[in-house]
Amino acid sequence: MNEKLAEAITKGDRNSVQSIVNESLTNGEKAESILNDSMVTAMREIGEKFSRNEIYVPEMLIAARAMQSGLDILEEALVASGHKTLGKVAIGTVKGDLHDIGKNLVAIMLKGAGYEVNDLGVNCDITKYEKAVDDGAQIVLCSALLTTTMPYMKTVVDHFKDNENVKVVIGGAPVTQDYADSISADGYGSDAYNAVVAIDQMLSA
Amino acid sequence: MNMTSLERTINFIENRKVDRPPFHPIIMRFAAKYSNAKYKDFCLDYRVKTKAMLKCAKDFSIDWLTVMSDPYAEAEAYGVKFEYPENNLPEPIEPLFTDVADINRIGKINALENPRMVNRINEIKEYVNLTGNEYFIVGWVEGPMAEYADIRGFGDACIDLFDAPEKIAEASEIMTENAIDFITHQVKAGAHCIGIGEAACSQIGPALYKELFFEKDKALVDHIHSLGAYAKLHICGNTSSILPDMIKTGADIVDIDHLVGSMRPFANLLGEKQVFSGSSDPVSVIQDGDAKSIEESVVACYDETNGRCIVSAGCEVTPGTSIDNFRAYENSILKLKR
Repeated sequence: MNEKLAEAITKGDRNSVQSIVNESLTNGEKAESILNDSMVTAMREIGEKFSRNEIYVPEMLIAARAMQSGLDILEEALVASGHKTLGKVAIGTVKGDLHDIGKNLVAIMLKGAGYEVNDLGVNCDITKYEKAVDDGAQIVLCSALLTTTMPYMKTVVDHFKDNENVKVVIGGAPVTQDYADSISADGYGSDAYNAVVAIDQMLSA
Repeated sequence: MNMTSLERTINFIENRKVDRPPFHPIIMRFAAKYSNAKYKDFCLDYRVKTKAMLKCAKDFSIDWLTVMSDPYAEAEAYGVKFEYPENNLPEPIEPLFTDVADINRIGKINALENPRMVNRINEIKEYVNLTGNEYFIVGWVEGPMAEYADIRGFGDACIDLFDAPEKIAEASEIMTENAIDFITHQVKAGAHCIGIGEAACSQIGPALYKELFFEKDKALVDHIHSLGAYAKLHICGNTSSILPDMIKTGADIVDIDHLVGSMRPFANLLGEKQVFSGSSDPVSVIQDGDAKSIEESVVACYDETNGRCIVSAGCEVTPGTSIDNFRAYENSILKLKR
């Protein structure tokens, strides 16, 4: 692991991330190795700290921004090398709900953990989730902040219940494991980090 | 001992004898639904909100009357454009600015020139007209971090805290001055207490809260006190890491969200004339629980704080809460004795 690169991501230092990534590529290091050994590791550490309330949303957002600045440089080399992500997931806040903070944090963590993320935005109806699945999403994540929009998660779960290639994971401030169980969701993330853990477990099972 | 809601609340805060603890649930969409009001009207028409809130207060033994409906009155005055759906929360549709370089667009606002801020002042006047000194009337302002997040969007606001802390500090000064002015108007209109909403602060952590916003929130509390009113500080989410500082602002009522968990570790930090308000889970307990679990939660909150807790859910009672459950909530308070 490149400690300096990991530290730059953790501190949200975009300039250092870009310069270290460029230097590593110039030195012949493989893009995939830079990504997985240092950048993904750093973002997972960020997620764990967030989950333990050791860091908060601003630190997480600037770390994600720094990570993205490195990814932008690596992208061409990753495509050329045939790099494969950990899986393809789609995430959206459910129909009727316009809140995106939690959804964005989960998307950041998933991307940082090495997943290809299709961010569907807010106010997502079945059509949007279905199109994402048609485009290859293996996991559908539904977020909600409002208790009035939570029931739409059941609509999504019911819609995909006969499709064995798709799992539905839910989360959001008012959502609990009990609620996830009650609507037969495949998974539940109590926070951004635990959403990633849930998906890691599902896709490795 | 028969007490009015106002006497009960003030005596409770002042650590004097009361007949029972005060009941201050945050009811916004629940109140609108209960009184068959469209949420757009609830937000925009002082007569609709006051009528709905008063009906709930009378029907469910609630001791406070509030102006709460959404956090956007001041944001609209700053220039953010909102849409008001018939039966949902207002939605921001056009930001004031999209680059922190334009933060100086946050300027002085005049409460008396903005319809939503005037509406809030009218809500307080209407409560006074309708109820005199029977209920504890609570006005509201946004604290500077919450206001900046309302104006800028939460994600961008968080990043700005790192990219432009000096500009944020300058804008916070202006927003605090405006909030102080708005507080004065509301207290003059008859509010016994002003709530300070700082929703976003639970998400930024103790260091940034202390560095950028604690002194501003304290200044708001001090100003409220200088006018002879009570101050309530409301921050949604898990505030465990900033709760000691929230208490140090000197707010008379410190709201506790259910995500904090037990209030016991913090109860001994309260001053003699400070109380918590909270913190039953509004979804799993108040909405989805039954009479037994609701009563257990109310008693637990009371016990955790050695009886220094106004009964309230932490945070808003959901519009999906049944009348039966809300009645059970009321009954559990009426059984509590001091």
